[in-house]
Amino acid sequence: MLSKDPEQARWFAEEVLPHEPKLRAWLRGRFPALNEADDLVQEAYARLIAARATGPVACARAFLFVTTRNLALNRLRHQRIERPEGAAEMDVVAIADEAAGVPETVVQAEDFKVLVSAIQSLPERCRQVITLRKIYGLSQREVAARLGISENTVEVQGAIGVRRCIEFFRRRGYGPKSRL
Amino acid sequence: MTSPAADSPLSDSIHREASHWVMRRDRGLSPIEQDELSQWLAADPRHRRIFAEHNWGWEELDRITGLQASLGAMPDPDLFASRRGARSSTLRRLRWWAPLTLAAAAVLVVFIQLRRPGGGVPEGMAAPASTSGYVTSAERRVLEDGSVVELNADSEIEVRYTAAERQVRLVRGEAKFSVTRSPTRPFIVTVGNITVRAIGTVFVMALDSMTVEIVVTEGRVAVESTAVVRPSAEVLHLTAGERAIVPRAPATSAQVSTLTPTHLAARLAAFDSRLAFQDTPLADVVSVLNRHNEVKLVIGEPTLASLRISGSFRSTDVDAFVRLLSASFPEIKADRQGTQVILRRK
Repeated sequence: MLSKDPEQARWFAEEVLPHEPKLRAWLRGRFPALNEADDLVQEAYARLIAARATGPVACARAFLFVTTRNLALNRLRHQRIERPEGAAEMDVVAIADEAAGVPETVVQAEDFKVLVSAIQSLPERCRQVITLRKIYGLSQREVAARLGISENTVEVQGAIGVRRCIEFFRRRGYGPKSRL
Repeated sequence: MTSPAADSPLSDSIHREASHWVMRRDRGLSPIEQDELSQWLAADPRHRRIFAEHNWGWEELDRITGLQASLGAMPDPDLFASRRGARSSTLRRLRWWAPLTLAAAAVLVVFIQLRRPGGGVPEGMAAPASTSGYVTSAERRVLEDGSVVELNADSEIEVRYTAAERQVRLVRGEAKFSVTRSPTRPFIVTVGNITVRAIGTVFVMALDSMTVEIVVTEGRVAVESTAVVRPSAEVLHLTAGERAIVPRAPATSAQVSTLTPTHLAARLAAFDSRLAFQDTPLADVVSVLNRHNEVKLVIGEPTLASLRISGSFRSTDVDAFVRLLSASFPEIKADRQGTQVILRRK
């Protein structure tokens, strides 16, 4: 890894890289039609590093899996490839797995108070949609199935959720952070 | 974005549309939708800004993905349901969240230099100026998004702008980019197999046959080397004042150092304006150069003041000017004393 920061290099080597084999295996299994695993994984890494550069990340592994999955779904849609049945299933086991990320999760729970509070402040349906999508990494379709509502409703509720969260963040002066 | 008053009310249609686009983009856009989004973003500067904020907010929530994943295998949609009246009023303002600060600068400056193989370039100089004082001025081009590219002599770029990305390839020479900020349309500079992605504001980059040099003057960049094997995680983040030498071969690792403000200024001097004089008295040339530099020229012999000078040189390169002067006027002797260069007759 190219890194000037020994701490970042250590973090990457210890908390991120070990997940790659499983991430790739999962990607191959769920998205056999996509042959751009390298691109997807690289992009997910880039997003994870960018996110961590501006604040804490609860679980690097979950972030990686969910981001990669979202990128893959996005690409499928853009290429008009029909999604194979179950392609998007983001099993929580894949996210949670072993002890990975547990120390960070425990130690930093306080750091996410604004984010958690924003979700808590949402109306019920909205809150459920955002919780399933963001905390558990379920796709739009999976959320629809789990809550017994249409995909369109998930989309609409998600949009309301985003607006309300933005409103919540603004009231608290919580905004994009820069390392400047 | 700091104050809600700066924007239209959140309930208005732009915010609704922006949030819907964020959701649609998250689940994946069809090519048609991609075009629609591009058109919508281009239709009004507010669209872009508000979309960026919503997109940021949506992605910000990714930080807590998996936060509770270890608690149980069954996703609980009511994980964050409020209990016993614990409503938002109980939420404390958290002191460790600093108030929102926007990135101060709206531009990003990239500087790329293809160094001459084997030649080596002195710090702060783009090319040896000793042999000829007549150098072409940097060419300045304004790109369609308002970004500015300054090309040094014998330099060439290829600009490829799409709705999703602003791509620039440095073909040869050296260039400095002042990039208009656009979070949804990344500005990417490629030099060979190395990619520099503008995240924040200002950076500088240089390259020879073996290495790429990147100097960040403001903001930050992500550098990626798509070397042969494309090894994982070859992403290097640089912030203001940092300089990286990135090998073009995948085997070795990047060297990163921090530049002092003086070194930074020297490094950027390659793109400083060049001064052109036509039959100008030496006294005038000296006073112009002295305004640009810490090293001051002093005319130690009054009869030299009216000497006529023609030529052009980098405004910050006193040494090159002195060399040029000595070469053109053998009767002149230059003595360096600390931060002064005294010009006398031999």
